[in-house]
Amino acid sequence: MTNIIRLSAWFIVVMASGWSILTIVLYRRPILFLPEKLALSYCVGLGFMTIEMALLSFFKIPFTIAAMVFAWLPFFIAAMAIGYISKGMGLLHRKAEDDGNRFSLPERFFIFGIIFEVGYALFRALIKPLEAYDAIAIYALKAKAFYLASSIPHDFLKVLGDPISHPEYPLLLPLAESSVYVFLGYLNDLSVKIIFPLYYIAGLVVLYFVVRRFAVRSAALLFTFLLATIPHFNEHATIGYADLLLAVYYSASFFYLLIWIRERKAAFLILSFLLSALCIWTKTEGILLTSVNMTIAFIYILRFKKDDLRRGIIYIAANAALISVFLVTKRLLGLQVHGNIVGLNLSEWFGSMMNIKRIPFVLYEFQIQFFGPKKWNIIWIIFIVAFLFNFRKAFMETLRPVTLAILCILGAYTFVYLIAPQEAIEWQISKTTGRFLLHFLPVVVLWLALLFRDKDTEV
Amino acid sequence: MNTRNIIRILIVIWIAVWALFLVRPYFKKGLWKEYSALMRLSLDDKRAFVAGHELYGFIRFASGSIGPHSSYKIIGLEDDPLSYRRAVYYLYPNIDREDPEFLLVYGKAGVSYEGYGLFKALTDDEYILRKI
Repeated sequence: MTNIIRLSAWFIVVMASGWSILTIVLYRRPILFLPEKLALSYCVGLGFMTIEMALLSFFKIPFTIAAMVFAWLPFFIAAMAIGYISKGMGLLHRKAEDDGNRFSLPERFFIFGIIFEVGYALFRALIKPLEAYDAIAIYALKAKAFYLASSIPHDFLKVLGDPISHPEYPLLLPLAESSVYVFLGYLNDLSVKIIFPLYYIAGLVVLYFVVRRFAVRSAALLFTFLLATIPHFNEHATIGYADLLLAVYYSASFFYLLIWIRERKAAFLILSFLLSALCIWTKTEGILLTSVNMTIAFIYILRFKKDDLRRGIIYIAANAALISVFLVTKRLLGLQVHGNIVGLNLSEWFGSMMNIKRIPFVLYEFQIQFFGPKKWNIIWIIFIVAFLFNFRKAFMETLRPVTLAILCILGAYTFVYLIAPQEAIEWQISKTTGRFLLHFLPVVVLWLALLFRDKDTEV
Repeated sequence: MNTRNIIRILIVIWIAVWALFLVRPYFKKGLWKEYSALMRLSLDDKRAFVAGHELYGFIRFASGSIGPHSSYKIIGLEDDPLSYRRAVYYLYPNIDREDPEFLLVYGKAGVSYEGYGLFKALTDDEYILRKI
């Protein structure tokens, strides 16, 4: 019982932190629906709590509940003041024509499917303690070390022992796990897994409300159901890896960039930037995904004028600055690892580009993934067929930025495989392709939703 | 065939594939047994269940014997990287080092290393050597 109360306290603090940050940065601009803002509050709140913990360590303040809550007090107060001035929470209350309608039978089935998958993810996450390879080797060990030291020890790579797995990885997940331990008051590698299904739920809620902006309710429910029931997406809500977190941060950051391109409300761009920043703080691949956002923004702002052009430039520059700070910090800390392309110098980059013989391995692995229903159901088959049959449409209007983003990411990950300096690259490719595809899976689902919204998606 | 019918067919195929891969592991991998066993266990027993009772028993024995913040090296898990990583995780804040104070020997009887003597033994092939 105490466990549940302490875990609830952690959740409330995370949500309140995220809500405060969103309320402050969006300042009286109603761009989000209530459930959407709650879902983002969790993602943003936990992300910024980990940044706060990194800062606490920098100033040599130990991780305690008091320190972690006290740092947010000014934000809580500011958010409440904004709420008071706005006479509300700055939420979007737009009602669509079909909002009041009774749920049809297919809609009820989709809702049942989504609820079932959420319940199943919670069950599978909370039945077993952390045990998967990366979950233990990369994240949980660091989380345990941070919790026991009440800080990030300045020599934490030394205190972890000799064979450290991915010391260069960003610290969002280990610190998020430590935050749960701080609130629980002891190390519980079972309860800590609540982090992952909550990201899964947040990802589904965000997708639903983003699709809802473009399509009817039944279509939004259908595509949310599709995402929820993709086995690989659901599995990553249970195993303790950072890939689902990255998928949610990246997809949400791209979704709001897309809405900004369409509606040009600056608040969406701010939101996209916040989420991009958390991508970089989650996994090294976040740099690549944020770069894709910058590329898409660059392509579009070329035709924008005045304020929108200026905002777009600031967005790209701010993301570039964050990436630079991150890379420089890693270099200063000596976290360049053999086998990581980020650590290559220019001549090594060009030398590595000659790995053309790897292309068959990469294509073979993509093919295994695309036609593997055990992991993906038939989402990639639908996507490929829909893309081929709607090739022209894929590069028109709202679909174009989404298509470009998907192609950019696929191209970029293929390129990474070609230039990666590892010798046993075939093993690397077979182990990572599924995770890479997961990172932008919600974007692919949105692409399908946007494609079919003009067709009759009432089912 | 119009788009609506295509979508309906795709949804039916989707649901069939979804149901198939949802149910299959319960029959193929015996997930029922695993989950029903896990539901009755305490947190520590769950750790033992996922890591393997024998290995987890040895880890508990080792961490209780060598005390916190000691350096160690595990002998016997070289071919099992997952178990090795789990052991490193559970043994922390004891630290895996190249020149350790303790050698934790798992699953290998009669191992001897120069400069190390028997410290404690759990079984014939699970024991701890200490630097002399």
